[in-house]
Amino acid sequence: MAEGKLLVNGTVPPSLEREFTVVGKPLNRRDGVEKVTGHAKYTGDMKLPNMLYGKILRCPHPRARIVKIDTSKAEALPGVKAILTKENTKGWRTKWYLIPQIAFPECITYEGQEVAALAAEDISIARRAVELIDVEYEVLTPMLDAEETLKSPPRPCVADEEYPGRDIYDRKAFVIERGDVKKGFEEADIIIEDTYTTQAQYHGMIQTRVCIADWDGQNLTVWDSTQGVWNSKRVLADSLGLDRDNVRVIVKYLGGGFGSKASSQRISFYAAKLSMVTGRPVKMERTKGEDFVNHPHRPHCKMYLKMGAKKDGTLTAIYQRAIVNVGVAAGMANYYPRQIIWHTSNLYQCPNAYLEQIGVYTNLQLIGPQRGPYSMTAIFALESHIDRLAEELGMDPLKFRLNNYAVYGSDSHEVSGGQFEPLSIKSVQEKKIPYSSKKLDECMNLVSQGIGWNRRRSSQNDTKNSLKRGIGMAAFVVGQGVGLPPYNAEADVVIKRDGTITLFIGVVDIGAGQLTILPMIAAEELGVHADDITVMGGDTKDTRYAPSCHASRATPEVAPAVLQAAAEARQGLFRIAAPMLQVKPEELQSKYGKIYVKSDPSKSISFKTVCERIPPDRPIRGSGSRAPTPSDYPRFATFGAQSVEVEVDVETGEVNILRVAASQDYGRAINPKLCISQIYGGIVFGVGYALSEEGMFDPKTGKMLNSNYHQYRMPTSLDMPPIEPFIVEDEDPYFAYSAKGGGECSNAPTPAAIRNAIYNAIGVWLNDLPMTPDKIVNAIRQKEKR
Amino acid sequence: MIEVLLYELPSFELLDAATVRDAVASLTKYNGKARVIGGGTDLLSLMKDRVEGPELTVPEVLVNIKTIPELSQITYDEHTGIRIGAAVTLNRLQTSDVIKQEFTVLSQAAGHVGTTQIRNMGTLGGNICQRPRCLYFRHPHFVCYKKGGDKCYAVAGEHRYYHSIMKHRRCVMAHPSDMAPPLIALKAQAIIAGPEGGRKVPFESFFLNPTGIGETILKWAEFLVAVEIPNQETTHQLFLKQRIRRAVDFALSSVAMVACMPDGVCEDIRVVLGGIAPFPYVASMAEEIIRGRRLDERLISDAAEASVKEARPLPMNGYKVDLTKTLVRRALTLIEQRSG
Repeated sequence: MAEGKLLVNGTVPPSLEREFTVVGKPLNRRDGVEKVTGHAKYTGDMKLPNMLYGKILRCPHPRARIVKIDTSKAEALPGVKAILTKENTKGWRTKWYLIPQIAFPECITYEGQEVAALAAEDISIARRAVELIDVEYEVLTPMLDAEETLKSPPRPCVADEEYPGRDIYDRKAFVIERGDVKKGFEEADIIIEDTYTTQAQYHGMIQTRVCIADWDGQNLTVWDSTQGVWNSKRVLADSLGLDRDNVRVIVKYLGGGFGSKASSQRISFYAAKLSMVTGRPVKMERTKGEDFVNHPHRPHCKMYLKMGAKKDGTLTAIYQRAIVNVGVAAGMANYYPRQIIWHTSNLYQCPNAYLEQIGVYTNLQLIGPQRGPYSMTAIFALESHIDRLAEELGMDPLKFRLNNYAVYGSDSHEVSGGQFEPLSIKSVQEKKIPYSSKKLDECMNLVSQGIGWNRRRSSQNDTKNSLKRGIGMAAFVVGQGVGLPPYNAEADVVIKRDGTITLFIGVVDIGAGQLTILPMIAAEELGVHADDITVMGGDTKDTRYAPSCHASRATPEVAPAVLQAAAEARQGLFRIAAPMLQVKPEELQSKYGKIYVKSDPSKSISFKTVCERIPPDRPIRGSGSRAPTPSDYPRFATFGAQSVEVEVDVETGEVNILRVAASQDYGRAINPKLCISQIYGGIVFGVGYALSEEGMFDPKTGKMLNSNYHQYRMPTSLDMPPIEPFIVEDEDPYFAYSAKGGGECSNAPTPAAIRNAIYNAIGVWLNDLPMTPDKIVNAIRQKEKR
Repeated sequence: MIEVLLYELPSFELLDAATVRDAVASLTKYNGKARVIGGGTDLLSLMKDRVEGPELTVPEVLVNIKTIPELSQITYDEHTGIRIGAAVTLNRLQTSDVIKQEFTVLSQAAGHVGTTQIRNMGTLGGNICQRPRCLYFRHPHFVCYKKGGDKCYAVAGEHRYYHSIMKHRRCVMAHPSDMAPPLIALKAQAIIAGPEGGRKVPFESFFLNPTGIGETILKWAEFLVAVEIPNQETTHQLFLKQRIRRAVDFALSSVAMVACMPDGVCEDIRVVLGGIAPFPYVASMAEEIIRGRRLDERLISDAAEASVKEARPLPMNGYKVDLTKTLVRRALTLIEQRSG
C-alpha cells in the first residue's frame, strides 16, 4: 500500500503483509441489537432535568411579508419562558448549509419558514403559546414553477438578504464544455432529442430533526440529530457567536439522515439561543409534517438532452440544458451548480459536449442533499436517452453502453473555496483524468447475467394478455465528495494496560455502519478481533475533526486515518513485545489477538500479556490524520449498474417489479453485509422515486399538499422486489484497503433501469417521474392513437 | 382557519361508553363537541391535521365505542344472515371464516384496506364513515365546501388520484371506503343509534351526494352500531381495487360485484364502484344490461362501457374512466369463468 496515495500526514508504519483477518468479513452491525430491541436511546428519547420544550411558529404562506407580530398573549401564558422573533433578535444571522441567513427575517420566502421560536415548561403550553402569537402577513404571489419563473423578469426583493446566494446562482448557467458540439452533431448519423422531468423527493427519515441544547453560562452542549458532530459544532459556534472550544455536539443514534441532516439545522440554533436566554436546557423536536415543509428536498428538475451518434454506435455529441428549481437559497453545500451536468459529462466517452445547468430561485421550499444529490435525476435523463439512442440505432443497449465506455474522467478536479465563491461558471475540459479505479464494465456484465439479459426481447410481444414483461438496465457514475480542503480527517487509538483498545473518531453513524466498519479497519491493522475494539464516536469531546457522514465520504476519508492510528499503536505494542520474544520489533506480526514472530509463528504472546507491561500512566497512543485531496489527484468515483425485470399491466398502468440485479464497484467491501444493505436501501429510494414518491403542491398558493406519509407514498417492504446484489472489487491504492465510498449512490440507476424495462415491456418511453398509473395509461392511449 | 402548521394532536377528553345508550347520551350531552371513536385511524389524523372550518370543528370529547361489547360481535344465522358490530376490526373481517365463506367480497375488501397495523386498529364502522382523502379537505389552510367554506380548490388544483370522475355537484371528492361498495352490493343495512332511537337504513341510501358537510345520512348524535347482511344465495362475489402504491393505498378505482347466476344466466347482479364518485357508485346501467342474460365477451364489454356512461372526468383524472372500465370488465370476466 503506497503511503503517499493514502494522503496520511506523516508516515504509516509498514503494513503487516499478511492475509486479511477482519476486513471482508460480513459482521453484524454493532448497534443492530440495541436498535431492534428498543434499547438505543435517541435524542428524541432524552430528557434532561429542568428541561424546557421549544416550539416554532411557522409561516403558512410560501411568500409573505410580516406586517405586524404580537406576542403579548403568548407571553402572558403561564409557563412560557422566552419567545424569540425578529423584533428581539435583530442582526442575528445563522448559518444554514454554511449559508449565512437572517434568523428571523421580515420577508418569508417559503412555506413553514420560522417566524417565532419559544420555550415553555411543557410541550402543550408551548403548542398553545404558538397559537396565541398574532401575526399579520401581507401575502405575496409566490414563484413556483422554475421554467415559468425563468421566462418572467426577476422580481425585485422586498427586503434585504431575502434569497441567499441569488447573485451567484439565480438564472445563471454553469457550463461544462469540451470539443465542438456543432461539429459533433454534423458527424452524427442519428440525433435524438427529448426532455425529462423529475420531482421533489423527501428523505422520510424515522427520527425527525430534534435537539436538546444546554447552555451552562460558558459551555453549550447540544444533543443533536445531525450527520456530522464536528461540522455542526462549528456552525453552531459561528451562528451563536461562541468560541468553537465552548461547544460540544453529541449524536449517539441518528435515526436516519439520507442527507437531510447533513448540516446543523435551524432548530438547533433556536434551541441553543433559547437555552442561552433562559439558562435551562431546551428540547426542540419537529413533527413529521414540519419535516416535510421545512426541510430541504431533492429538487424538481427539467432536463433537455440532445445526443448524436454514428451508425456504428459511437457517440459524437451531447448537448444538455438542465433547469433546477433551487427554492429560496443556494450555496455550494445545498445546490451543487454543476452536479447534473457532471454526471452527463462523465458516464460515457464523448469528445464533444456542451452541458449547462441553470438554477432558478422560487418560493418552493428549500433544496438540499439527498442520497446522491442529482444522481438519480441526472442518470434518469442520461440513461433513458442512451436506451432511446440504442433503440433507434437497432443496437443492444448493453453493447451500446460498452461501446462508449469511458476509461477516463473528463472532468477536472476542481476545488471550491468559500461558500459564495462558485466553481468557474464555464469549465472547458479537454483533459483526460484517470479514475483511481473503475470496474464499470464488470458491473454491467454482472447485472446482465444476473437478470438474464439474453431473455430480453427486442420488441414487445403482442399476446392478448394485458401483462407485459420487459427487462431494462442503467449504469452510473457518482463522484465522491472526498476530502476538500481545509480539513484533515483524524482518528486516535488508545491501548491501556488492562488490554482495552479504544478508537476515537468524530464520526456519526448515519446508519450505513460506519461505527462497525472503522473499528474493523483498526482491528485488522492491530491484529485483533473486531470485538476487541471499543469505538467512541458521535461526540466532539475526546475526538478530533472528522467529516460529516455524507457524500459517501466517511469510510474513504476516515479509514486512512484509522489505519495510520492503529498501525502506530501496534508499533508501540511491538516495541514492548519484541524483548519478550527476544526479537526486533520489525520481525513481529500480529493477528487474532496474538503477536508472533514472522519467521516462526509458534513463538507468540497474547496481546493481553503485552498490554500488562504498558505503564499505567502512559497508555499507548496512535494518531492518524488524512490530508485533503489535492487538485492534481485522480478522480474518485463509484460505479455500478442495475438491471430490472418488470411486468406492466397495459390496461391499469400498474408496474410490478419482478426482480432487480444490482452491482457496485466498492473498491473493497470492508464489510460486505453492510454494503449489500446499502444496495437494498438505495433501491428502495429508487423504486419510490420511479413509481410513487412526489411532493405535491397547490398550483396557486404553492402550499405543500401531501406533508404526510399516507399521501407521500414511500415504498413499503411489501413493495420491494427480490434483489440480487453483486459486489465488485478492485485494488485502489488511494483508499485504506482499497475501500472507496459507496453508501449513498446505490439508488442512482434504479429509476432509469425501471423506465427502460417498462419501455421494453410496452413500447412507451416515459420521461416524467414518478411513473404513476395515470401517466402510463395516458401514454399507452397516445401511442394507440398514433 | 388555523394559521399555524402544527401537525400535532390537540388535547381531548376520552369517554369509554359501556352501552349504546351511554354513547348516545354522551354525544347528546356534549352537543356537537363530541365524536365517536373506534380505531381512530382516520379521526385522529383529521384532528392532527386540524381539519376544521365554520361548519366543522375539531372534537373536544371522543366517545369510545370499542368498549361496548355488542359492537365487537359477529352473529351469524344461516337463515337470516349476519350482523357485524361497527367496532369489529378490519382484520377480523378479513380473517373470519364465516365472512370468508359466505360474504367473500367483504373479506376481500377488508384485506385491501391500509396496512396490517391499520387493519388491526381500524373498524368496519370507521371505514364506512371515513372522511374524504381530498388533499385540500385534509389541509388546514383550505376551507372548502366540506368545512363550511365557499369554494372547491381541487377542481382547478391537484385532483389526479382521489377525486370524482362522475358528474358531480359542488364537491368533487371520491369516496374512499373499500367496505362501502361490497356492503351495497350485498344489500346490507345500516343499524343506526341516536337520540330519537334506532333506525335501519339500506346502505344504498346511506351515502349522500354531498353538497354540504357530511357524506352520510347520519344526523347529529347518531352513529353506526352494526351492519346487517342478508344471506347470499349461491352468489359469485368479487372485489377488485387499483392503487398507486401496491402495498398500502386508497383506491384510484375499485369494484365490488355480487352476482346470482343459476345455469349461467344472470338472475341478479350488483356492480358498485369505489374511489370514482363522491359516494359508492351503483353502476345501474351496467347491471341492467346484464340482468336476465348470459355473460359473453360482447355483453361484458357493453356493460363495462355502461358502467362509466355518466363519467365527466376532471381535467387530470380522465385515465380513471379507462381504469374503471377495465376493472368492471375484469370482474365480469372472472365471474363468467367461475359460473361457466
